[in-house]
Amino acid sequence: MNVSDLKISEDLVLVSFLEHKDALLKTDRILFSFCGENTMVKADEVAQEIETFLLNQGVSKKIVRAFFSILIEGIQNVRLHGEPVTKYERNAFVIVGQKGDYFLTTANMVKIDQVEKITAKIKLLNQFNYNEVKEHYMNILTEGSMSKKGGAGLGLITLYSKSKNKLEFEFKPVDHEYSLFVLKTTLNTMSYEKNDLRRDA
Amino acid sequence: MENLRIEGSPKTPSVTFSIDGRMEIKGRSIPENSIEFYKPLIDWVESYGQVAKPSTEIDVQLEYFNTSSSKCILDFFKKLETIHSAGKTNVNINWYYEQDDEDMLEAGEDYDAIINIPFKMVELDEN
Repeated sequence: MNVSDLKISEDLVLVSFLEHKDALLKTDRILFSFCGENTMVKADEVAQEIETFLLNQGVSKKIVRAFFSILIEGIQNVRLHGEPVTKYERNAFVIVGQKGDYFLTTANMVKIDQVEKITAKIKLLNQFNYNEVKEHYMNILTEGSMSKKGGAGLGLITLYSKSKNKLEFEFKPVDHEYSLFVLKTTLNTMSYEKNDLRRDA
Repeated sequence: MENLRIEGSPKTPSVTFSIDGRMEIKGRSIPENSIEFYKPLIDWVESYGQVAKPSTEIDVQLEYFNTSSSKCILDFFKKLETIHSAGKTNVNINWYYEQDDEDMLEAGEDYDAIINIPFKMVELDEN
């Protein structure tokens, strides 16, 4: 079955998942992939497996640590903030891989009225330099309150600050109620290798 | 009141709190919902405030913590700050980080900036 056949099946999550996987070249590596219900993917298990794999490959601890945090925050976001929509067979996907740098692509459904808010949040983050993101983090840490599900409102900030890269995202309308939020976090490996821990941009 | 001891797990750190004034939190803290894990720790500190020794030393040696934990750890430190400021005990926090783990050092410095308790940053040699 290829992507174009699936478009007719109207399974947007699966189509989008396969499009992202198809975009990878043979030289790129997929370390983990999942497509299904958002509540089924376990952040700690995925992160710990990939951590062991990368350490065994001789990847530096600094890079592994940063990527571990990205995996935990990114996948926990899918579980915590993804709408557990059951009218579709699949409502989320996760791809972890290496395309030059290590990346995490996640997708989960959000209510349409959240699209504007999330877009503004990411656009704001993507403009921040090191000092600005730090100030933003400290403000939310000290002023913000925790959600009932245990979210601290710091997940996206952590993805941005640990990856030392802009967050890439898109929304794909699912129906009149939901949109698929696709988020790609790519770890800027070079900045860790250069020991450049202060973002200058 | 009794000592508090919690075994570590792949998602949560080990906890050893003793009424003689020594406390330790060690390991990984990455649960999805940290409130459940940290509430007993915060409650214990509150009770400890009533029977505290003149000095209290806390070792925090975390390898990773997620953002859900970061907020709970802050609440835990705030509770310690309350008993420290009330003069019930003199609290000192030792924040351990692995050599090369600047993010963990910075996280300790962030808490130090927020919490009015002396923090000591302690570097661990990498194995």
